[in-house]
Amino acid sequence: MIRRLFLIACLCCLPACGGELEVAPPGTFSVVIDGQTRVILAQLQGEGLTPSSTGFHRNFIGIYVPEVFLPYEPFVLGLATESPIPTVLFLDAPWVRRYAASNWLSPLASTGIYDAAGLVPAVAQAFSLPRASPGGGMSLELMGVPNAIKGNILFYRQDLLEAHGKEPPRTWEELIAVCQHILPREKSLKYGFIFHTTNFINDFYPIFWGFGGKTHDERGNFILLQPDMLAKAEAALTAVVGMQGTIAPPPAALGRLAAPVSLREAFLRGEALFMINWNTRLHDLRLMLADPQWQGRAAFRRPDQIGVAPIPSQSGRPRKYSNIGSFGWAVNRFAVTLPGVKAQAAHFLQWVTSDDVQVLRAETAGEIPASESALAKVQNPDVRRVYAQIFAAPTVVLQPRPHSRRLNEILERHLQNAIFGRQTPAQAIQAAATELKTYADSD
Amino acid sequence: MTTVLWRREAFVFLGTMICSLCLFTLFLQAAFFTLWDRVSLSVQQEIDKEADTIARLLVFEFSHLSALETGIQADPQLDQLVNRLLWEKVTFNETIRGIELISRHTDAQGQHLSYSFFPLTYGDPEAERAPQKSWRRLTGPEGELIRLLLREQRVDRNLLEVVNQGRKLESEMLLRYFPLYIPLPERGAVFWGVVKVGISVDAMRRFLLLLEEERAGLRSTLLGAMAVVTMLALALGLWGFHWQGRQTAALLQGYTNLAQALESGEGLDTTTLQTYLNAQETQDIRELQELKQLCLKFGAALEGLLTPLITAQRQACHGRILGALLPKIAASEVSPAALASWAQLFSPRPDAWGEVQLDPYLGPMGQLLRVLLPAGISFQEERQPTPAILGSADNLIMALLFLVDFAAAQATPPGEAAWRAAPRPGGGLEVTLTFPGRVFDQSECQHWLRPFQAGTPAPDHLGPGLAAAVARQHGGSLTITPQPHGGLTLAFLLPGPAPAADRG
Repeated sequence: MIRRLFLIACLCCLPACGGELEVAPPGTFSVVIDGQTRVILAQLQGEGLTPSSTGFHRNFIGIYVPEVFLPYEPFVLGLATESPIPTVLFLDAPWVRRYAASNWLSPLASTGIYDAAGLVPAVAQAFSLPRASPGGGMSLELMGVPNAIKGNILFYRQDLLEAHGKEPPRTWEELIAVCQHILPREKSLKYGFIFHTTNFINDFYPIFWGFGGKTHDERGNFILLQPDMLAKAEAALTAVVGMQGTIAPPPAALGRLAAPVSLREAFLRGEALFMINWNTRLHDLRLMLADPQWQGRAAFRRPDQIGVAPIPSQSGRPRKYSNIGSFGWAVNRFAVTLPGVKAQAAHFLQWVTSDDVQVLRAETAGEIPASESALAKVQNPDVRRVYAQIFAAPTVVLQPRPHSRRLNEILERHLQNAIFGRQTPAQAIQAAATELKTYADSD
Repeated sequence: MTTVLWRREAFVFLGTMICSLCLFTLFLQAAFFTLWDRVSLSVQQEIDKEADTIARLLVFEFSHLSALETGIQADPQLDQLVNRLLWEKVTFNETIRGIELISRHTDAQGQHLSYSFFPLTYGDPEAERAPQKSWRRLTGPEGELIRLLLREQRVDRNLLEVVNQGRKLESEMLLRYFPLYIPLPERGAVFWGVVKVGISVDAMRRFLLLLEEERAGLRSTLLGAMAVVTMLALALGLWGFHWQGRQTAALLQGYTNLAQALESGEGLDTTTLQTYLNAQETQDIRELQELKQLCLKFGAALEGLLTPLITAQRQACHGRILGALLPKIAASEVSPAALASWAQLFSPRPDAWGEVQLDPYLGPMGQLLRVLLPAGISFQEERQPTPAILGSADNLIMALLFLVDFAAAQATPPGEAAWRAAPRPGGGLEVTLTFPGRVFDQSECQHWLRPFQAGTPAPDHLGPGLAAAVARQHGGSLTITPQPHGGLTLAFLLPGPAPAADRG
C-alpha cells in the first residue's frame, strides 16, 4: 500500500519537474567572416575537420564584413552598444587588448571557455590582460586564443655570417659591427640592414621597446609623452636613422623598398645582410626560392642559408622584443549570457584552434602553432627553427603594438619624416609628441 | 452502494484521490509562483532587449553625424540638424520617450555639451518642450554613470539599475546609455560622448497587469478542472468497485457461507462446496483465484480428515461404553438379554438413507444409559411409540450413542436421570435425555454444540457436536439446556417427512 501511495505521489510530482533549456536557439552563434577566417574555415571544411558539438551547424551564422567597412571599425559600434552579435571575433592582438580593456570580451580561462594551460607562454601573455583577481591582486586573464605565433624578427644571411665567422647580433652595436665587417668584403651586398618603408611603425616598435621604451604602462595609461620615454623613442629612432647611408638604405633609396614584396625580393637578390620582417616570410622565401622565376636570380639556393634571430636590443638590455602580428579568437561578453552560447563558443574555439588545425597551418603556411602540443607534432623545419631560435627563448617578449590607429598614424607620419630625412630624429619625436598631446587629451 | 464504499480499498482509493487533489493544488500554486516569476523575468528581459535594440539603432544613426566630431561646436546648421533628428525620432515613435546626446567635451565650468529632447518633462511649459542644445552639469547617480561612461566608454550595469530604479525627472521610463562612436575613415571609430535614450515601459505594464488578471482566472479554471477530473475518477473508481463486487458476489457469498458454516459448526458438505466453487468465475482477479484454489484444497483436505475423525470418535465412543460395561459384565450385573439387545447398537450398518424406525433401538439405549450412569442416580424412562423417519439409521444410532456416552461421562450423583422418547405433534420424534451433575453455563453448552469456533480450543468431548451435525443432516436439531440445580437436558429432535407439496 505504501508503495502504491509513493508511486502515486511520484506521478503527481512529475508534471512539476522541468529541465532548463540547454540548447542554444537557432541562429544565436555568429562569427565574423573576413579574409583570414574564410581561409581557416575553408581549410577546416576541406580537411573534413568539422565541429563535434550538437546542433552547431543549425546555430552557426557567418557575418560577412565588406573590406571597405573595416576602416570604420564597425564592431566598435556594435560592441559599444552591447550587441550580442557577433559571438566570436577574430582579432589582431592589439584589438584584443583594446576590446578587452573596454570590457567587451569575455574572459576565457576563468569562465571555462578555453584552457590557457596548453598555450606557448609568450603568446598567451600577449593575449592576456591584467585583471583584478578575487584575492585583491592583479592576475593575467586570457582574452583571446591565437592559432599561431606571428611576430617580426631579424632575418640574416647565415651563409655569409658563417663564412665570415660571425654570430647573429644581439645588440644594434653588434649588428653594426657585423655589417661593417662583412659589407666591404661582400660586394654583392648593397645594404647591411633593411626594414619596411611603409608601416615602418611595425618595425620601429620592437626597436623602441628594445631601448626600454613603452607607450602605455601595465594599467593601460598612456606614458609615451613622459620625458624619459620620449628620450628612448628618440634614441631608438636615432639608431635607425644613424645606420642610413652606411648600413641601411639612405632616404633616397627607401622608395625602392616601399612596394609590398620589395623587401623580400631585395633580400633574396642578396642586396641585404639583415632584414626585419614577419616570421612567416621565411615560408614565403622558401616558396620564392622554389619558384622557377627565381632560378638563377636568387643570391642563395637553399632556405637553410637564411638565418633567423630576435630583433636586437640596446646594449645592456637582454630582453628582445617582437611586435606580435597574430590574430586571436575572442568571445563577445554580451553573447555568452544567452543560454547555450557559452558552450557553443567553447566548442568553436576548440575546433578552430585544435592541434590538427594548427599543425595543418604550420605545414602548409609556415605558421608557428600557438599550442605546445601542436608544436610537438610539427615537421616543418622552418617552423621548428624559428620557434626554437626565437620564440622559445625566455628573453624574447611578444608584445602587441598600441591599438590606437590615431596614435600609430601620428607616430608613423613623424617617423617617416625622420627616415626620409625631412626631420632629425629629435625633431620628429618632438613633433610627434606635440601632436600626441591632443590625442592624449581626447583619448 | 454502502457495501461498495465500506471497503478498505475504497477508502484508500478515496484518500489517494483527495491527496492527489491536494498535492495538485500545492504544485499548481508553486508552479504559478514560478511561472509568474519566469514570465515577469522573461518580459523584463524582452523589454530590456527591445530597449537595447532601439537605443542601439539610434546610436548607429547618430554615429553618422560625423560633423559632431569634425565640425565646429557652434555651428547653427549642425545644431538644427541634430535637434531636428531628435524631434523626429521622439515625436513620431511612441516607444521612444526622449533622447539626449552628451558630448565628452566640457566648458570651463566642467559642463558637458548636450542635445536633448524629452517632451514629457514635468513642470516644463508647453512652449519649451522642444529639442535643446545646452550645457549640463552631471549630478547624482546618473552623473556618476555618465562620467564613468565618458572615462571608460562602458556602461556600469549596477549604476544603470540604480538610475532606472530611482525617480527620474523625465517621468517614468526605461533609460539606456550607450557610448557614441563616430566612425571616420581616416581615424576609425572616434569616441564622441554618450547617447541617452528613454524607452516607454507602458506596454510592459499593460502586459503584466493582464497577466495578473489572467493568472487568477487560470488558477480557478485549472483547479475546477482538476476537481471535476477527480470526481469523475472517483465515480469511475467506485463504479469499478461496484461492478467488480457484482461480478464476484456469488463467489464471495460461497466463501461467506463457508465461513458461517465453520463458525456455527453446522457442518459442511465438502463435495457440494467443491462443486459450487468450481462453478464460480473469479473474473481474472488474482486474489480470488488464489482464494478459490485455497478453498478447494482446503475442502479436499477437510473431506479427507472428516471421515477418519468420525470413525475415530465412533470407535472411541464404543470403546468408552464397552470399557464401562466390562466390569459390570464381569460382576454379572448385566443380563445376557440386555447384552444381546445392546449388541445391535454397536453392529455396523450400511450408510444408506431410508425409512428408519428408531423404537427398537431407543429401549436398549435407555437401558444402556441406566447401566452406565454412576451409582446414586435414579433413572426414569418414558417411551412412546415414535414414527418412522427418513434418514440414515447408522448415523442416527451413532448420534444417540454419542449422547448416551456424553451423559454417562458428565453425570454426577445424586439426582435423577431421565430418558424419554416421544413423537412430535407435527411429525417426527423427540428423544430427551436428562441427567444430574454440576452446574453448567450456556456458553459451555454452545461450545459442545459448536466445537470448532475460532479462538477457542476444541472441547474434550466431540460427541454432542457430531450428534448435532447428524440432527442437522436430518433436518432436526440438538439442544443442550443446563438445569437450574445442576445437570443437563439434551433434546434430540428429528422432523417428520416433508409435506407432499415440498417434495415437489
